[in-house]
Amino acid sequence: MPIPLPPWFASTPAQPPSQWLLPAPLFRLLLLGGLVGLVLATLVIVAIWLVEWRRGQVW
Amino acid sequence: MTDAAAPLLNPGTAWFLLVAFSGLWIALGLWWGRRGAGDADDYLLAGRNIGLALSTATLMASWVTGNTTLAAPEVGYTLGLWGMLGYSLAGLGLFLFAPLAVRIKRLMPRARTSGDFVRLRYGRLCWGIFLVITMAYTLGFLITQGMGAGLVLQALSGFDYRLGMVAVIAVSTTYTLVGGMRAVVGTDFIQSLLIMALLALVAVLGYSRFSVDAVYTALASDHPSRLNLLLPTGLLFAWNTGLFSMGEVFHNNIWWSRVFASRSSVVFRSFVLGGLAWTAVPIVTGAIALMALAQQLEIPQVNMVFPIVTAQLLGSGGAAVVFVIIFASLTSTLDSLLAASADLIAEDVVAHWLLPKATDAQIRQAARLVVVGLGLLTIALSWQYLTSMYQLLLFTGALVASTIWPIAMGLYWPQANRHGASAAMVAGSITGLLTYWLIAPYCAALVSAAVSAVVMGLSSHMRPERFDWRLLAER
Repeated sequence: MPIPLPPWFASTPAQPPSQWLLPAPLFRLLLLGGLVGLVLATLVIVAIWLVEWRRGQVW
Repeated sequence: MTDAAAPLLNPGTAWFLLVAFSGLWIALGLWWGRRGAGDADDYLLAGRNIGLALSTATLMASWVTGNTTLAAPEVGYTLGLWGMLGYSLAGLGLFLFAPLAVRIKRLMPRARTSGDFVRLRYGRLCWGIFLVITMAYTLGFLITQGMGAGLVLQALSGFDYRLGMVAVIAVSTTYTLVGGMRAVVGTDFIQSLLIMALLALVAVLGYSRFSVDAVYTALASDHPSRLNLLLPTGLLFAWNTGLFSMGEVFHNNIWWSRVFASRSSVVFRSFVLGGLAWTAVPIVTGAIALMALAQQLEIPQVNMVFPIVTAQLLGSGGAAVVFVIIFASLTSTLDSLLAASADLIAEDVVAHWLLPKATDAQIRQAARLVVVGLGLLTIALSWQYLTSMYQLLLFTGALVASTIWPIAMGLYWPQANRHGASAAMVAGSITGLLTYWLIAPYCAALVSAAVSAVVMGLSSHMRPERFDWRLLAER
């Protein structure tokens, strides 16, 4: 999707007055979760296609 | 370190990949184009019977644009967590449209376009305003993809800007022309699988060389703002992204045509599944960009962070993988834009305005001419690279956000007033554009949507209409 990016993206964001850093376990969960989600999504689409193809329901 | 001026990919390999994938897409387009009944419904909507796998994959592929594969890593690199999460919120547009899609499919079994809904629900005045808005947006979207193609292929493989731009547009136009929506949906299926599988491969290989924990430690030490959940700019970005995606999905015929093309039984699930699958893409590409920060790689052009990191981590094989991902992203989006716009112009402008008695064959021929015309127009408008791609998108965002509430209210609320819908679109667009010029481009979509909601809600409350839903069953 074409999401417009604001001009201040060119520079590093200024350090905000308050910080709440994501804990390491949640960071790991987010990154690995995204990756597992992408792989699962790929496999699910292929599996659905296989089932539909066998039943002649692809188109 | 990578030299910014040197292409990441050997030109010979780049030419091979370009020719091979161009040939594949066109051959598949020809093959799929020969299937089906051969009437206008088949050319415009692939026979209205596509299953869950193709429906999900075409939504996914159309939503993964060149921007998703380049800008999502960029925001991950510059904003960190909120860049990735905020970008992935664009999947909300697809999720939220799922229940609307079911209702559209039920209320409008014979319709072909989003324009059909606006014309039947709100009348011709509102329809005209809507067509101007959606065509302005579509043209802006096409130009950004064309310019993006030229820029990315130039940076990746050293191709001349115009060669890359013309190649990508010409390939998409050719297979869309010969195969219509069947070619678009069929190639989208393969393109989406390619994009997802190769992105996962890059991420797995990347993290096998530089672990997630090592990335976290480096970020926490050197770039803590990238892990900050209270980053104001990140929160603003996430809010804007969700709104922008709603405006795009609710009004654009790309998504409406997928509703009409899919079987009734799969519409809801395909939008939910497509949204879920898409949501993972910005997180994975953003995470790859975080490796660049953690490894302190030199990134001369921040919007090229994904290709640069991949080439650094995986060598020339990685650059080739990036070439395929970006080529598939660009062609899958361009074909959808061309097909949906051809559908809209052939149905709304030709069949319901210029030639009310147009035959099925004439509508199909009109759609073919529009595909070619739009392809040529996109090439012409992208010929000179404009440095204002970002401004162009913000400009069109001010327009499309004005359509969210007239569409959503019009689908569920019989009291939604036709004059209110016209006024909401006009007032939202004008105030959005004034905001763009006088206050800040980045607030334009927000103001446009807010004003449009107030006008639509107040006018419909003060002068409620009693709409008969059965009228939507016409075409």
